[in-house]
Amino acid sequence: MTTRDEEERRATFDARYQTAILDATRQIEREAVGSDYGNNGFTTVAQADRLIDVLELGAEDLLLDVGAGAGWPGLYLSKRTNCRVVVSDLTVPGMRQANRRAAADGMSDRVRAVVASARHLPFRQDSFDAMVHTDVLC
Amino acid sequence: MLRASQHLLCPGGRLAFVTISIAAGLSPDDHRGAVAAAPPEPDRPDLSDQLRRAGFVDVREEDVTADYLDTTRAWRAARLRHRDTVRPIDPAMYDERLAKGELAIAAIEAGWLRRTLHVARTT
Repeated sequence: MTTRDEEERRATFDARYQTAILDATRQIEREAVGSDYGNNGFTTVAQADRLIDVLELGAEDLLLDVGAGAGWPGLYLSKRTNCRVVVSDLTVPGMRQANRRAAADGMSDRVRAVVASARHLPFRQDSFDAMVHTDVLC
Repeated sequence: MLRASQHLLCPGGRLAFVTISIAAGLSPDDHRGAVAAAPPEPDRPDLSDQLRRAGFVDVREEDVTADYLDTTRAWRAARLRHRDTVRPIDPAMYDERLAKGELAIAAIEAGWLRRTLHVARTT
């Protein structure tokens, strides 16, 4: 993906997350994938549960979710397992939404939202116990 | 991304990711159809092989294409159920998403697109 592509994608996602979330769009998400995190991808709740299994996630882990959009599925994985999580994506609005959701779920103490490109992740070597990304384009 | 994963994960760290890709061996016409229906950049070489070459172990993959088809159909059905409420907000976006969904469903049904869960571990 070129920088220009990335900028265009950032603008699209910014607009998406700045749009007020309407009850109907959230209901569509619930009916399609079972989540209510502003997820418009293909990872359902059942598939997120599968990720918990294959990642062997537990409360002692620090998880990185790259390309999390507004926090899906990283926030959900943390909610289910009590692991600490860093969710990251290109847009400020998406990460703000993730922070709001973490606060609403009483998880702010174990959630960090980081605006970053998947191509340039600003973390130190050996930082994470587990890493996940779903349909991320990079 | 694989190199970054290797760098960022602790020894013994676990990696799981899901990708959508175009099926191998399609005719040029079918491949063009798959590209039109897929998210951008769906042409991915053998990721399991890349993972092994990047130093990951316990590499495995699961074909989750059937779930991908179910989910894509579920998105279409849910959007259609709520059409009267959602479409007026942004008709162009609604129509685009519906059209892309239709293309994707046809492409998955034709066997052009697949979705795969990849799992690996660092040493």
